[in-house]
Amino acid sequence: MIDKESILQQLWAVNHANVLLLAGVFFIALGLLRAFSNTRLERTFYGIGTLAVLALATGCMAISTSHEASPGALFVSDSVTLSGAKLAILGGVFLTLLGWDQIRSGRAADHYGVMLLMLSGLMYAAAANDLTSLFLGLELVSIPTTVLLSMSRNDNWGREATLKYFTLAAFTSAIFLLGASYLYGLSGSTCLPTILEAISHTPTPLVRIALGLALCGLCFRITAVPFQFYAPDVFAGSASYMAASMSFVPKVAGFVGIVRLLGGAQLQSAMAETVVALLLVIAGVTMTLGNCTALVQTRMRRMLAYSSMAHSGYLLIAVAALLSMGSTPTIVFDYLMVYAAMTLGMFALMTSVEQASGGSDELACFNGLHFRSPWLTIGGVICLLSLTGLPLTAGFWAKLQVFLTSVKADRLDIQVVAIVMAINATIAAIYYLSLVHRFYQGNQETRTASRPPLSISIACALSGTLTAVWFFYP
Amino acid sequence: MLSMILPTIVLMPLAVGIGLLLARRCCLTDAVGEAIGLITASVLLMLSILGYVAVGWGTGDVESGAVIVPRLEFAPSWLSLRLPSVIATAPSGWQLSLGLDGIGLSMVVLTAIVTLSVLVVARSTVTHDRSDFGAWTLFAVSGLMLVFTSMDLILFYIGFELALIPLFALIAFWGDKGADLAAKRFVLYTLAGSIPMILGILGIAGLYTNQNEWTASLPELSKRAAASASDFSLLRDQTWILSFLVLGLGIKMALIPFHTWIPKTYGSCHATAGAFLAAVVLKLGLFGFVRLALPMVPLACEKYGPTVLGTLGAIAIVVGALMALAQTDLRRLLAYSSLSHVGFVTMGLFALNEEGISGGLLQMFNHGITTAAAFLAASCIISRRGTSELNHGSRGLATLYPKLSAFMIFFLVAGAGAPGLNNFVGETLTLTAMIARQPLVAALGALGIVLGAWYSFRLIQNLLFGEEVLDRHNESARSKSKGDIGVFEKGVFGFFSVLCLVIGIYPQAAINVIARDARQLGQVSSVAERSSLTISSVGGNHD
Repeated sequence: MIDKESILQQLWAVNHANVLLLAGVFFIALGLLRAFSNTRLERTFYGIGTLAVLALATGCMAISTSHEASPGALFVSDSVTLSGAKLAILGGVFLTLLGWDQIRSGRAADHYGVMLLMLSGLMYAAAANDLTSLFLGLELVSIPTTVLLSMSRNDNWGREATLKYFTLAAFTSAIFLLGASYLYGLSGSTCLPTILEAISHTPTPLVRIALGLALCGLCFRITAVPFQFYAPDVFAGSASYMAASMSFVPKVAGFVGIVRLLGGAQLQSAMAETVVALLLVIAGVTMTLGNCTALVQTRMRRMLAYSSMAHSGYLLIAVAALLSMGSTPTIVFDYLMVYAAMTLGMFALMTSVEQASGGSDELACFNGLHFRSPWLTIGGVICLLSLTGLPLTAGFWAKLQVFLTSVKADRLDIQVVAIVMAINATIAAIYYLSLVHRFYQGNQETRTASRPPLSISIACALSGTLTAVWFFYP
Repeated sequence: MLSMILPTIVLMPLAVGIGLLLARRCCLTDAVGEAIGLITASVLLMLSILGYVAVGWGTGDVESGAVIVPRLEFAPSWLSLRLPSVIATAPSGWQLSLGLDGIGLSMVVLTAIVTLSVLVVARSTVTHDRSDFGAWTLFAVSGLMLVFTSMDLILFYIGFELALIPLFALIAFWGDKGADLAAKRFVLYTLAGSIPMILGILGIAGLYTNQNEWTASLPELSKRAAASASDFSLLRDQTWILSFLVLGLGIKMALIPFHTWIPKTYGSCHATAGAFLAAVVLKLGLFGFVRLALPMVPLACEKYGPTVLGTLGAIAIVVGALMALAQTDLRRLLAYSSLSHVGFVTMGLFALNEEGISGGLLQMFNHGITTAAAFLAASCIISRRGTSELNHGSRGLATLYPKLSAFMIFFLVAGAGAPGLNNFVGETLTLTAMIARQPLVAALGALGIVLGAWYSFRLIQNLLFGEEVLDRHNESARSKSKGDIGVFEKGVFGFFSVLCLVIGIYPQAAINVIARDARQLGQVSSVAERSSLTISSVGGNHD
């Protein structure tokens, strides 16, 4: 059906992803040579290499021109594609910085190579215009994630996390595929616009089942109910940079998938009735569960895991509201951008605290952080305030936009869920601000200054700066 | 050119505040930082006086039919919010702007005066990190100024939230033991209120969307609201919005069911921070009612204002005074007395006629002056006694510190509403206005004046007069500390006293500033009143 030449031509549209993919494969191959005896040198070489590849991809993205996709193309190049790619690059920079000093020796090439593959998967998924390419992209995210999880930590906790993630990922991929096969059966095509065209006029029960199944598969990636329970265990049982990656990359993949599946650049309002209610229920339950559980956590990683669930819930409201209005989903990606900066900043802070306290992420370890590393704390406080959604931080706009969208949607059910979100935001404020409170707790006498590693400082500074600057240039 | 005052009074304190905080970490000494803070506060006061002059010159666009008319405006094109295409019908984004009308001006001047005096008094009463104290105060001032000068919903909300973070620091770092918990509770409590508030604010924006054309601009919104002040189909939505706003603003201003954060917060924060909180931060809530509730949801205000909110105000007067009588801590006593005085403002504003509104606005200013003065005098007293407990520690301070005591007595008497001083005018106006609307509510409120005199005079009698009792425990702290107040404090308190006297004797000076805005607010309310009377006389029921 599709000849070789046209596939190559279509791949040309997603050059930035191809760069990452090829570079990833190249890194892994390079790693086979085992050219480095010095761990430090190895880490630096591949780290800088990764940053360079990311810069190259940015360049490709900048020069690529948005063009009309031929009907039935595998990939398209539109605003969603670009947003997905930007998110992947931003996440890539943060993950590189976070992992810099922590990769196990001799594994740097593999680590960065697989990470690049994962990010390229994100880009492919964002550009997908076809069920097959979407699935391909999503799997190219989740399989390398599993590999990275198993590489990052080699103890029982790590194995448990990997196994949990792997089995659940396989399970939900199967569910997604089941839904996708129904969609194919209903419309006779794998091309997403054609499918949407075919099903949006006939909301039969079968369409609902098909979309519901496909959404279930994506819910796993955004850690939404009912596939949320793996998140805290995986967060707690992996290396800190992998936990950071888990909080971000699969989530972006999931949302990209949802946006693509439900209609890409122009969400179809005709389908709204079919899925809005489902999305709203998931959103409400996810954020309430996430926030209420986060409130009682005593460990940072688990808290962040539940907090990331809550943010998924907020985003789902935005998706539902946009879906009912038939608008472009830019705010979802804006929110994710901000979310990346602030959450990954928190992970940077956590990494440095864990290193200082010998691997413990108990919340008590954060007491009096201000007296140990004041500058890092400032970055952390900015991120926390942003997560809370206070002004002078980008998180404020992110939350405001979700509220604004839900008011604008002018539907009672969305507004009710927006009120639920308002209550949730207050609950979330309790644990975010308690953490800020912890930073300044304790007596000043026990100040033993600890120097965080340079890369962590850079990551923290970067996220603090981005969150603050995006408030003024949203 | 004069309009540049507006961004300056918002951004200068923010920049200086953050700059001081960062610089103190690496190169700045405490004394220099303190001086910079004081200079900034002085400049701020000068700018606000300049703003007073400018507003006197400006006329504003009176003909537009808007209720909120800025007489000094700052709306550059770069200050527009380009929200991504969520709002498909309004792609150009929202123009944000700053502006100053009489009401905003009175609050800006009040804030500037209180800031400078807080920083001056802090020189002698705050014991550590005075540079940071000034920095956080300025940071908070920036948020306040943004609220008082914002001419659109978004900036209003940003300012409203912005003040939270520095307040947390002010309460937590300079308070008693356990102040950090009180600060956390205060911030969370307030934050819980600001979330219904954002819903209320977005509700206002949504309610007055004409042909899908969104606006956040307050003058424009108030114009649309005034135009539809007799459209009873909006009552249901307006009621919702008002209830959200009452939740949000009520917590900030400690409206009676939402006042439970008061004892913990004031009981453990430093008295100068208490002065700042009670005198200006609390005004955020009241100002919110003046800016958002009265002009934007006139029908709901008409229906529930005098009855529900007016009654809550009257209850606040009495309950606040009774609670003040029961307190054994000087700061808490003053906090509850401030709660009681704010009740008058609430009552006046929600009498919804011109006298009531102007009385309420005047009382907002008066309350700021007397409360700040009383708290600052209290902070001098506390730093000399070593404790703010009334049952322990030294008493009979009048012989030890005659000047300080004289000022304290003056401010307490002014607070009690003695004729010839500022509070008397405001309280009389608000009570008169309320008598016209709800005589019973007004009668309840009037009871508060008696109670106010009771606790004030009892405080004067117990703490300042009577037999001199020196506390052995605090003897050392006392001997180390200062004698009577210094020349700077004298200047501050003298200035406050003069203000109290001037407004008490010639209130027109202050009323003139706010008269026009009060009249406009009164007009929109009377339109709403008339139309609700018409509806009820016809017998139509549109609820």
